[in-house]
Amino acid sequence: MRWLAIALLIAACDRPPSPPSVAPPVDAPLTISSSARTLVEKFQCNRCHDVPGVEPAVRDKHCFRCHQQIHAGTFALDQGTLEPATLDRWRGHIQSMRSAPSLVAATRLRRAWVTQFLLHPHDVRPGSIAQMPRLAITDAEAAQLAAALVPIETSEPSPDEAPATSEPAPDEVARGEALFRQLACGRCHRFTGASVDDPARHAAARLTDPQRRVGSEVEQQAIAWTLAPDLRFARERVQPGQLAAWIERPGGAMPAIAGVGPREAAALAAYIATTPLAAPAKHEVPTRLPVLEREVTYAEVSTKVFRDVCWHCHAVPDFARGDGGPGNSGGFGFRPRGLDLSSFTGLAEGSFDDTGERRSIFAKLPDGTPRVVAHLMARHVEAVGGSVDGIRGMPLGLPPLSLAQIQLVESWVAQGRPQ
Amino acid sequence: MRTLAAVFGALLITSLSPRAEACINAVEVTRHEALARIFAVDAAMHLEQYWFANLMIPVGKYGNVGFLAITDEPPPRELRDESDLFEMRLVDAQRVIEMRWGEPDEADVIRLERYFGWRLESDASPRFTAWRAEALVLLGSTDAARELLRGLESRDLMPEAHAYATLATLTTGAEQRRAAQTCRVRALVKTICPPAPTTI
Repeated sequence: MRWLAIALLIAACDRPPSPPSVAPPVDAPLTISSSARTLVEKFQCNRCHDVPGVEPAVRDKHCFRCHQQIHAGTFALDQGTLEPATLDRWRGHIQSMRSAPSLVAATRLRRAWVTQFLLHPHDVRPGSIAQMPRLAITDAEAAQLAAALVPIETSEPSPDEAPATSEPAPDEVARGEALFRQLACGRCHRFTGASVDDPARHAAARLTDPQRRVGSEVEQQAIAWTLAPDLRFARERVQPGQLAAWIERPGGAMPAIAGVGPREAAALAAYIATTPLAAPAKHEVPTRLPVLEREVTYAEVSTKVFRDVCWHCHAVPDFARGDGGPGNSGGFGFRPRGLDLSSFTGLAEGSFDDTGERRSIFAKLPDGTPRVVAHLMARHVEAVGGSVDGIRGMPLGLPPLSLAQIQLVESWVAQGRPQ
Repeated sequence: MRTLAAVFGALLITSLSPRAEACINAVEVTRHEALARIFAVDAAMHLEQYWFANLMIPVGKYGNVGFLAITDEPPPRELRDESDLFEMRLVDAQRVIEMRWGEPDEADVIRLERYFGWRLESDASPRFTAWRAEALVLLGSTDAARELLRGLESRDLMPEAHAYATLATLTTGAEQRRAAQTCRVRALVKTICPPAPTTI
């Protein structure tokens, strides 16, 4: 019996290793399971992203649709008609919040990375003002969503593991770097920590023409620049083998690159995946500015802060066409908070806490910071990779407000919130 | 006269809301008739211009609620669409204008207090609480009014300067002084606030 067991063991060891599972093609159709669809609906992923098999949110609840339609000239009012001059004026105002990455191509990402990104989002796309919001999502929900978005993986490596199964030849890496420079990949992509990274050149490539028309080449280039990820994250973000495939046959916002065949793509992928990276720059949470001594009125703080940024999500249902925005009526998985930052009275009426009771947004926390200021500063903490217990950074999914804006809010509160 | 009011309203909107353009919910409020009207009414009330705010409120019916002309019935708890929301916002404004400017008799005040009580049942918001307290004061129910306003003040949820003005009339000493002073800070028109009692 013992000999039989040994024989079986030897036979098993002699068996050739299983072939690695085949990487799915980057354009593989993705369908979302019904359980994952429930999560997509709960977190309203379709408000900002194209989600395979899920209808986009209606225009008035969509993060970008109004802006896209205004630029496309297809925006229609509920009442009356729009004059071309008005559309042009609006186009001039709307430079950001015009595109989000489609989730159709998420199949090429690593599932573990997607899970962690859902739990701890960070800025992956330096050109995009909008960022992935920090959702109230559990570990299990994040894993389930990630599994739905990344149904097949070539392997299940942890993000810390080396991405490649074998080291590429040094000359291939060198050829990849030369191609990176020659093809000017750095015009759209930051590659922080790499020797090729050139922030000034990247910034100079931004297309700011507000009148660029939807569908035009300029528009496509602008979207590509906006959505181009920092390649620093590629080695932990993209599945082994998918990087070269994507470079050779890109999709989404990334344009096909003339003259890039399998060899060039492999060299570029080898360079991106293995070139040494300097440690990321350490950013400190900035210190709040002292409160102003001059008078700050509601008109000023409303114009420069609350109605400039906050009321897009924190309005009031009657005034705001039946939906006060996700920060009032609920959305992105968050319960309705009833917070209206569109008026003096609305601000004074506070928001619902977790028990459904109203509380002041100006109430001082144990360290003496007014709650609204704590939320605004928490966004600065999140921007450097941290988080504040029990305080979600605001504005959600957008860069932190400037310290001068926060100073204005804090000064206004300190002065008794004068009209 | 209403046309004249609309013209004034447009001017008021333009002067008070140079950035009245939201994105996600209302592209440009000044282009939406109902929103522009609500905006003008709110702005006029903030300036204590109740005669003007009253002119901006349409007569009879706006949405499906038809409540602008109804004086003593519980308002609907469920609103069907946004035009209902617009109308109820205007109805609320109409009742506040009547209370502060319409020289209501006792029967009117009883009706108004009941209305704000109904509104509070469906939406326990500070503004309905404060408006109900104002009505209670007109009815002489000062203890009940004071209790409501102290509840808001202790949680820093006083919705507007009028609430502090009312509380100042219901209290004495340091509490009265604090309410009167806060009223003067938060009021756009300071004359609505009672003078703060002087300290000896």
